[in-house]
Amino acid sequence: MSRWILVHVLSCLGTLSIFGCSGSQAENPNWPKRFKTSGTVTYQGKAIEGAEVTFTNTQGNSTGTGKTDSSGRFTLTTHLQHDGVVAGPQVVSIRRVDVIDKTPKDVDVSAGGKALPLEITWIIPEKFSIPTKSGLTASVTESGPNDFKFELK
Amino acid sequence: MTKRRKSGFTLVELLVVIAIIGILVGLLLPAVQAAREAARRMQCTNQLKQFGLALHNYADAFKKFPAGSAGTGTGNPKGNNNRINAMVGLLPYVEESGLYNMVQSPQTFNGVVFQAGGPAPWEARYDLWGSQFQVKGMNCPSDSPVGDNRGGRWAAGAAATTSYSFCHGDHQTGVRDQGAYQRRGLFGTRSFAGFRDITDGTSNTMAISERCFPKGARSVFGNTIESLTGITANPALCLAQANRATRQYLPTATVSGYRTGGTRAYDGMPIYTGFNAILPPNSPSCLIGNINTQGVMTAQSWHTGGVNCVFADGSVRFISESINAGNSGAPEKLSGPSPYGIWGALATINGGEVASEDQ
Repeated sequence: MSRWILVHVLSCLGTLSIFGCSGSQAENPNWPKRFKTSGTVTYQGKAIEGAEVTFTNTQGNSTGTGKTDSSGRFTLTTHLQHDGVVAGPQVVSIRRVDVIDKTPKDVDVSAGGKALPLEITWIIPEKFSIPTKSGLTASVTESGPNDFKFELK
Repeated sequence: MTKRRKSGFTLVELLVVIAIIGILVGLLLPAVQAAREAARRMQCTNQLKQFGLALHNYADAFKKFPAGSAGTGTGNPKGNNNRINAMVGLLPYVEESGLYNMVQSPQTFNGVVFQAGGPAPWEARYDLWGSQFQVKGMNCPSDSPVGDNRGGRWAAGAAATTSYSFCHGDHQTGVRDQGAYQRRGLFGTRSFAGFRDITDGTSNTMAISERCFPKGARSVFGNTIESLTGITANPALCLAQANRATRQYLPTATVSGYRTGGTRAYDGMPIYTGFNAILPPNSPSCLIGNINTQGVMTAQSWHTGGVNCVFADGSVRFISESINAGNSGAPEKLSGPSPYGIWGALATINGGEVASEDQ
């Protein structure tokens, strides 16, 4: 029976060390604590897809970003995917713009080819994209639920 | 008939032991890979050190550092006015005098006569810019070089490549094709900064770091987002273009058709051989318009967790991607302390910050 005990001990050690191994990005103790933050963006009553949302903390000197999905929902990231933002008052910007590069694909602009100007269409008015002019604010708290609705007109 | 139990292992026991050995070998392999990567990173550190020494030797000879982009010449074939990077000037100081002397004398390749100094860095007929004359020490061993071959040019072989990029400061203004040098980073168009311009101290000012080649069409590494207006006022918009966990650009982001970051070893346009310290290492890169325009050009490498960097004092340090990079939502500043934390402070020659990369 002692052989079986040995076999069991070895397998347990093996399994433990597998779970002990993990890589990828890790939390940094120097980073301030972030709190899960999400929300929705609508413009003139319609959910907006692909809008970039930024929350800049006016005290904590950090910015969280997110991009909306097809239902207009976003989840913010500061350092690690969907980790939220530092608690406190936030200045918010929301940007949704279509930019079309009119330069033909076969023109190599990096080798001196002539570029045509970009065609820019603002889906949400430009002023909402500038943090200092958007007039949008939010307050992220430690207790939550930190889910914000931005109904732009 | 007496039943006698034979001594020995049963089949099940043997299978279990084999399984355990398999698991242990499986555990060992990543450790071997990690050791190999550590060795590659050390070699990369050494190569950057050589370029740090080359910068100093160049500065001894000319009393100035080489420019981020310079060059002369017009006419046909097109000259390299303001498009040749510091790598060319550094060639004699990394034991490539032969190549340098060839560049500095008239040459005939593929039936075309080129003037001394060479043509534009994208000229496919000029063999000295091609992979035939690749300088080995310019590629980080952790990197998989991909030479520029856009539009079927470089048919005889891809362009020579480099993993190393010059520091253009912590701002976007002027960090573009033929942009005006802002006297804030060590390199820029016709920068030729001297030691006396580095008032922050040479050990607190970055000279050369890494920008790696892409693996995959939407990888954050080596790919750039185009047409992202608004990043000058709010660079954080660039961060919103990627999934931070998978390090892939989102489907709604416009990835440039150009492979960037060192795909042309001698092109002085910052998107090829330059970086600015706005977003922390290994973050996305974005431009406000096409490939020639200004934007966020982030240092990136395939080393785990950060980038190697040689400072103006010639020391090489590994900068973690979790370095304090300040507020990525802040607009750029062209004078005074950097808004982008320690990372930005290390990129300025005269920001007046007290910076230490331990913070």
